[in-house]
Amino acid sequence: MRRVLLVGNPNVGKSLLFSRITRTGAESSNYAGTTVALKVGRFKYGEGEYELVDGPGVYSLKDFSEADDIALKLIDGAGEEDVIVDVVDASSLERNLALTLQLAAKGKPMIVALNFWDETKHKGIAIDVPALERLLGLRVVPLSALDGSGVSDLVEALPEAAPPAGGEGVGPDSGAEELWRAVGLIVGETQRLAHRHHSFLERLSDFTLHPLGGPLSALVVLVATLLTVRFLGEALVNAVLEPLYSRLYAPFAISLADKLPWPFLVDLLVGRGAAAIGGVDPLASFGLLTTGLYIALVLVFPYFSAFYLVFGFLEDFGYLPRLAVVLDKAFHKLGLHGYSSIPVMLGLGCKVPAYMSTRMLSSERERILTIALISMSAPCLPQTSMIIALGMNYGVGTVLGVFAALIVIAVLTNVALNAIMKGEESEFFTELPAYRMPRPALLARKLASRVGDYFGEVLPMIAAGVLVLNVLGALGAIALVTEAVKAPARIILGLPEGIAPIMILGFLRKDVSIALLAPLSLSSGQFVVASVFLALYTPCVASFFSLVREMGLRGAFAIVAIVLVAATMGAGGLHWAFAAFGY
Amino acid sequence: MAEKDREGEDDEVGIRALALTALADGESGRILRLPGSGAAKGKLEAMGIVVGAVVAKKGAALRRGPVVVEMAGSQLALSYATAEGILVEAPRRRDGR
Repeated sequence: MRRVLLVGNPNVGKSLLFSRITRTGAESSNYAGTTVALKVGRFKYGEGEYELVDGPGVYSLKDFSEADDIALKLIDGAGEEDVIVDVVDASSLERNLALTLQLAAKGKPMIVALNFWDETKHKGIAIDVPALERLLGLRVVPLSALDGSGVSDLVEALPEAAPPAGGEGVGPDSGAEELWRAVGLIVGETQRLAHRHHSFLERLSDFTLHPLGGPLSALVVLVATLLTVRFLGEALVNAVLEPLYSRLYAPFAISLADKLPWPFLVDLLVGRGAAAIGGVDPLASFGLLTTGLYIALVLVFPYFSAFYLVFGFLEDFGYLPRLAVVLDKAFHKLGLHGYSSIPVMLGLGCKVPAYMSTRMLSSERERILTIALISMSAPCLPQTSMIIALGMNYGVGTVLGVFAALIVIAVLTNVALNAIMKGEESEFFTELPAYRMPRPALLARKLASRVGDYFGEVLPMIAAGVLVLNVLGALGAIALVTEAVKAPARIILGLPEGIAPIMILGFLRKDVSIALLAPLSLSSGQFVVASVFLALYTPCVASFFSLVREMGLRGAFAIVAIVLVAATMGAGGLHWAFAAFGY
Repeated sequence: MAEKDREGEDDEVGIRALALTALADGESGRILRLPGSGAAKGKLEAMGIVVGAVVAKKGAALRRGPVVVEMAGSQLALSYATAEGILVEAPRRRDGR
C-alpha cells in the first residue's frame, strides 16, 4: 500500500488535514508539539488505497529532538512508491519553506500543501503558486484544512507525485545560512505582502505579550477560566447529573442490590449496608456502581469536560504560548520554564486533566517538578469554592490566610525539590502562532476526543480506586487508620479528634472534607490549619489514580509522600506559629 | 535604560554591534553571531535565526523575562539568556535609518 506522509512545521494544521482526509477526528492544537507519537489512518481514492501517516511537527531535519528524530526516520524510510506531503502554513511561508527545501533535498516523491490558503487573502498575502512550483520544482496545492477546500485537489494529485525536478533548492549537505538564503530568494520572488493596518487579533496579541498587559491579561484569562468552568461544571452537576443520579440511577442500583443473592457482591457493587438502610449514600457506601460511578461521573466529569472546553478554546485560539511567555520568569525560579504554567493552571481547576497535560513537557525532570507543583498548589476548583464559602464565616483575612499559606508552602517545596533535582534546565524557546478564532465544530470534536480519553483511561482508574477502598474498609483497615491519626492530629496540628474521619473522606472528595469542618466549631486559626492540611495532605482518589497512570505506582507514592510531608510541616508550622502568638 | 541601550555604539562606522536584548522595541538588526554551539545553536538556526538574518525586537517582559522577536514573517519568544547571547548589528539610531 502506498504511504502518504504528512510532514511540516509544528502548528501548520497537519493533524487537521489528517482528519480531513481520513475523517477520524484526530486532535489539533495551536501550539507546538501535539503530535509526538505517530497517528496512522487509511483512505481510498479512485483505484488507490493509501496509508496516511501524521508525522510530528518539526522545524528542521537536523535531529535536535525526539520529534526531529521520528520525522527523519519516517522520511528516510519512505520508498519510491510513497509520497511526502509537506504541509506549509501559507500565511507564514518564509518560516515553513526551510523545511520544504530540506525535504526536497531528499529527492523523494513530494507534494507541497499550502494550508490556511483562505487566511492569506485577508492577511494581505499574495502567493504566486505557479512561480513557487517552478522554483521548488514541485507540485503545490493551495488548500484549507479548516473549511476543507482544496483537500480533494491534494488527494487527486497524489498518484502523480514526483521527486523535485529543476527547482532552485539546496543540496542535502548545505548549511543553515545557505538554506535560509535560498528561502529568502524564493519568498522574494513568489510572495507579495500588501500594506495593511494591524488587525484586532494582532493588537490583542501585542497586548497579551506587553510587559504590563501580559500579566494583566493572564490574570483576566485565569479568573475568567475558573469562573466559566465553575459555572458550567456546577450547572452540569446540579441541573443534569445529580438529579439523574439520585432520581433515576440510585433507585435502580438499590433494586439491583435487592435481587442479588450474594451479600459479598452487594457490598462490592452497591456498598455496605445498602439494602439494610434502604438507601445508598453515594460517598459513604464505597460501592463500585454507587460511589465509584458517582465520583467519576457526577463529581469529576462535569469539571473535567467544562475545563477542557475552555482549555480547548484557549489552545486553538493560540493563547497558551503567550501565557508561557508571561509566566516564564516566575517559573524559572522553580527550575521550570513557562510551558509548565499550563498544567499548573489546569490544576487549579481539576488535577486529573492537569496531570494528563504534563505529557507535553519535554524532559522527565520537568514533568516531575511540574507534577509536584500541581499537587502542591493544591486546592482544585470545588475545594477553593468550599474554602471561600466556609472561610468567609471567619472573615476575608482567614480566607486570604489559607491561600497565602498554600502558595508559600507550594513555592518552598518546589524550590527545595528544584535544589535536590539538579538537571539541565532547557532554555525557553517557542514560536508564537498568530491568534486564530477557533471553529466550534473543531472544538466540539476535540472535546469529544478528550472525553473519550477520560472514559477510557481515567474512569476505570477511579473505579479501581473505589474498589480498593471498599476492600480495605471491609478488612477494617480504614477504622484502624482513623484511630491512628487522632493523636498526631491533636499534637501536631492542634485539631480536635473529629478531624480523623474527615481526613479519610478527603481522599474521596476534598471539597466535602472542608465542608465537614463546619460542625467542629474550630477557631479561625484552627480553620486555617485544617484547610491547609486538608487541601494538601493527599490527592483525591481520582487524581491519585491519574497520578499513578502518569508516574507509575512508585512515582505516585513518592509525590504523595513529598506532599504529605510538606502538608504536615506547613500546617504544623502554622499551628505552632498561631499558638506562639496566642492567636 | 536609554543610556544602557547605546552600549557598544561605534561612532566611526555608523553601525553598532550590540546584544539583541539591547535593541529598542520595534528596532531591527542583522545577526552577527549566535550563542552556543551544537544542538542549542542548531535549534535557533532551524527557526531561521542564522547569521545574516534580520530580526526585529518586538518587546520583552519585565525584569529579564523572555524577549519576543519577529522574523521570517512570524514571532518567536526567546529566553533572555539566549537573546543576550545573540549579537546583532544595527544602524546608529541618531542617523535616522
